[in-house]
Amino acid sequence: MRYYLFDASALVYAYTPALPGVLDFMRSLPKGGCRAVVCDTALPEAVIQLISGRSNGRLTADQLSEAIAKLRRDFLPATSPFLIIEASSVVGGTPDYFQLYDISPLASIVLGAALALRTSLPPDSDLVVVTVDDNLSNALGAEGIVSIAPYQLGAPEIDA
Amino acid sequence: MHNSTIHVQLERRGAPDDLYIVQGRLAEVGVRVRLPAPTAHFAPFDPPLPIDADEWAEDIVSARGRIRR
Repeated sequence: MRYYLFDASALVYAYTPALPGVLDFMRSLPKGGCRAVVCDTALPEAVIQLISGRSNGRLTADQLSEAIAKLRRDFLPATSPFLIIEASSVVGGTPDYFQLYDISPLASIVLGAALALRTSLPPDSDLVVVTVDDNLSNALGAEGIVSIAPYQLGAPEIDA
Repeated sequence: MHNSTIHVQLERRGAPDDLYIVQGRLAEVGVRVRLPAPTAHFAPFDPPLPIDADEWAEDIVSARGRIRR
């Protein structure tokens, strides 16, 4: 079983109507024997980024509304397809990660979630973090955790 | 860790067993999670439009408020 931990940057790709491939991949996860995981901090961060995308002209008003509605639905307990990690329970180590690696405070929370998740996976399971943040990817690599960009999801070399 | 029987102690809501095992193991190290809804799915967007993914990636990372030391 493979667990994909999506950070906020990956969610922006997934919930941007103009980038359908990522969400299409996520739609295939339950049938494909994989799990989708997020940290709850990803919701407000992704919403902020989507609104920024509207400000930058990357999304229309209707696309922004649709994206946020879908994102919100996927974080509600009754309709969420995600395993959602509560940030309040993983922030304890973030000051260390923030000092050790050149990552943002929000990225350090993702790193903390990834480290906790890795130690808790069943045998024969692996973890892949999906992000566009190169610094976070470097920190994950230093901890021995694989990361990929969202647009690499589904690539044969990743799935092998 | 004492994870051999955790999954059977947790309330079943129809989620796959592996998620209960993960939830139990995370709970042992103080990490709380919410399980996915059993019948949840990711809804598709329609219709898609072209966008510059690389430009947006730059925006996303820069807006994270990274603090250089």
